[in-house]
Amino acid sequence: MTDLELLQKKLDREIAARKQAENILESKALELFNANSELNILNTTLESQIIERTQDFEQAKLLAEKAQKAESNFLASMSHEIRTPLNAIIGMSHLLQDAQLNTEEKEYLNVLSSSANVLQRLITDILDISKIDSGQLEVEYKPFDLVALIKTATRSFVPQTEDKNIQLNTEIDPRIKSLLISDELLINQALINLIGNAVKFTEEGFVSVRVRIAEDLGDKLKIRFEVEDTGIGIHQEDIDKIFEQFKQASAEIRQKYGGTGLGLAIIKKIVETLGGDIKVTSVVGNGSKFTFHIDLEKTDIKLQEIANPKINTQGFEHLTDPILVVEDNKMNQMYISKLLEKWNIQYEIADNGKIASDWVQDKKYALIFMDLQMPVMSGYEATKLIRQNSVINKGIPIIALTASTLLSKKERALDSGMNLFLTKPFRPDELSKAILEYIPIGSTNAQSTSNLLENKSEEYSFNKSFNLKYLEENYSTDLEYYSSMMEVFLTVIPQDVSKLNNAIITKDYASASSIAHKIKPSFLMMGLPDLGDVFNLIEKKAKTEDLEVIEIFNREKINLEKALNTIELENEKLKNHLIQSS
Amino acid sequence: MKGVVFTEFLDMVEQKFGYETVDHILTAEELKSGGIYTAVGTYEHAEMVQLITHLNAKTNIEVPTLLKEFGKYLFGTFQSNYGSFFDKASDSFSFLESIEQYIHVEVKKLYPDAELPKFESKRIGNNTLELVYYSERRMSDFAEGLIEKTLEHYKEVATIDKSLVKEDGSIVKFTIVKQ
Repeated sequence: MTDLELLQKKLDREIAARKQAENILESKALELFNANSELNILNTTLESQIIERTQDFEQAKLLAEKAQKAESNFLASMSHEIRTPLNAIIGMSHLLQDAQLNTEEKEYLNVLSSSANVLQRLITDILDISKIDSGQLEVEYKPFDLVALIKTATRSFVPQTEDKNIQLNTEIDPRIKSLLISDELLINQALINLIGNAVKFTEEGFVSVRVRIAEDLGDKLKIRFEVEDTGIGIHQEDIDKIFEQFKQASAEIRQKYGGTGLGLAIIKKIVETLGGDIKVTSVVGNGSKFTFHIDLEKTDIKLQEIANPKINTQGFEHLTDPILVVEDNKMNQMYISKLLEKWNIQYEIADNGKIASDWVQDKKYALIFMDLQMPVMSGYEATKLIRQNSVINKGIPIIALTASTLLSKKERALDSGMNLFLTKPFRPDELSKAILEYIPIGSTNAQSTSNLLENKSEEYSFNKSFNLKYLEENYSTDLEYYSSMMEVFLTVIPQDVSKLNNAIITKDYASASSIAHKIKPSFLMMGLPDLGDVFNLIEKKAKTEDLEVIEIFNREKINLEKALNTIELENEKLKNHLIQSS
Repeated sequence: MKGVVFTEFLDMVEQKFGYETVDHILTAEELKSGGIYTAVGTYEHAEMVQLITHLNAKTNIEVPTLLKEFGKYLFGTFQSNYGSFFDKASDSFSFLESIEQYIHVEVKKLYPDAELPKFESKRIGNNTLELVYYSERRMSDFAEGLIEKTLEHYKEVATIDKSLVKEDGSIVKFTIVKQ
């Protein structure tokens, strides 16, 4: 074979091989193209499937959310609808407590009352839960005094723990020295609920509330809240259940301790809303420990900066003799005596001018506070008698207490021999100033006292359902005074109202009229002029023996009850505020 | 068997013995493929046996020697086409171990129908590797050529001891001892 022939053969083979390769490549390319097309189709199908599924899912989610919101709205509005008549039931049963009932009736009333209270608690809880679930829970972040909050929250359980004879301990991290930012009300609610539970399920031992800085995160503090008790404890298998809505550890628990089974669910949601988590450890028979952590933003505001200014009582120690208070109005009696007790001043109370004028014959007093209008003997007459007849107290300072702003009355008071008059309602600083003015040696302090008192001003927002202007004008410089006023009011007025009730029932119009007259100004002092007007009307109607008085009184009973509740709450709130600021 | 093995084999024969020998072994006996091979095609293993047999007859060189030489020759092709596999290993032992664990796995992905030999490797001490070859093709000599070139590639000196585990040569144990 020649080289040429050989080369020709090689070339032929190469050409054939190339064609074969091209065919193979061509068919591979086709395969690849088909596979790619299939892949594309598959891809598109998948994409559209994903879009479709996502849409379906979103639709379903939307529907579910809508359903949940509808449910929450339903619950919220139903709860509201139930609350209104329920408040009437509770209010009326409170009023019934004062009526003259026999033992059997009283028992019925107790059942009625406690059932209504349980129902109210349940509805409040449901309302809370539905608010949280429907996203209507408003979180208000602002600086607050955590230390004071803990103290107040714990303090409100003192009566219960004292009754049960269990220890109530509070341990607060001393490193918390400034105001922190979070939602004060929500933290308070969570804590109150937890402490309440702990107290409820503990019969002996202690309940401890511990609040510590778990971690300093720079601009925030991670605070650990811990509520530990030595109560009945929770079975391990029930631990997960207790945070669920309407779940309690067992049916026996529900029977024995009551409750709605919503408390812990609410706490959990609140804590989660504030960005925290809650855990519980428990040993049956030994007790439980609930722990939650929340991050609170720091502030530069030191806790001391909001301290409460104090009334200067310097000079009171120079009083050697007691002060005589001549006053028939129980509310005023209590108010003055509370202040005098606080200032360590000895005092005696005479119910009317006659008693006072008798007492001053035998005993030396430092000063007399004299009401003007009193039964048996008025302040004018008593003053005249004292000035004329008393040997040991002849030159005694007599300070008139009058609710009237009429100049004529004041002139008459001064004419009758009184040295000064105080217009009711007066503030503690006015009272202390008046006393200091007549203290023989310590009189130089009077000026400095009044200066001190003028500096008093504290941030406190009064309840808006009251006459704000009146409250701010009279009490904003001295909240302690406001608190005392409310306390006295709450002690005296319910009794008076009950008396008025009896007087109206027994158609004793004269008494009714005078009781209403007596009650009237108290409501004005509380910043409730509308109810003041009501008693004014009752006084007038009773005076003319108008039967309409019964109707008016019955109609206003609920408002009255509401007002008493509001004042009670307001007083609690104010007390907390005062403790926090001291 | 992959076409690349045939085209490389014929290239080697042409280089070493001239195209006349190529023409001879392609025409000495009828081949199913007609003696036309392309690297992208796939052909029966039997044709390779036919070609080697005729080359042996023509050149009087023993089949084992031919296969070993072909192994060495093909290594060069592997090296230039699939260099990255060599870069991944730092020495011959780890490369040889990677054939079964990695390279053949990748080859199977690209050519699911490829029929590959199986290797079992076992290190004995720092310097010794036992490599057991399993293949019905009984081309352990071809493998030996590749192993020799591998050692050379990593600039390592080693002795290769080869022993038949199975008489027919379908299982062969290589003991490679580095010096």
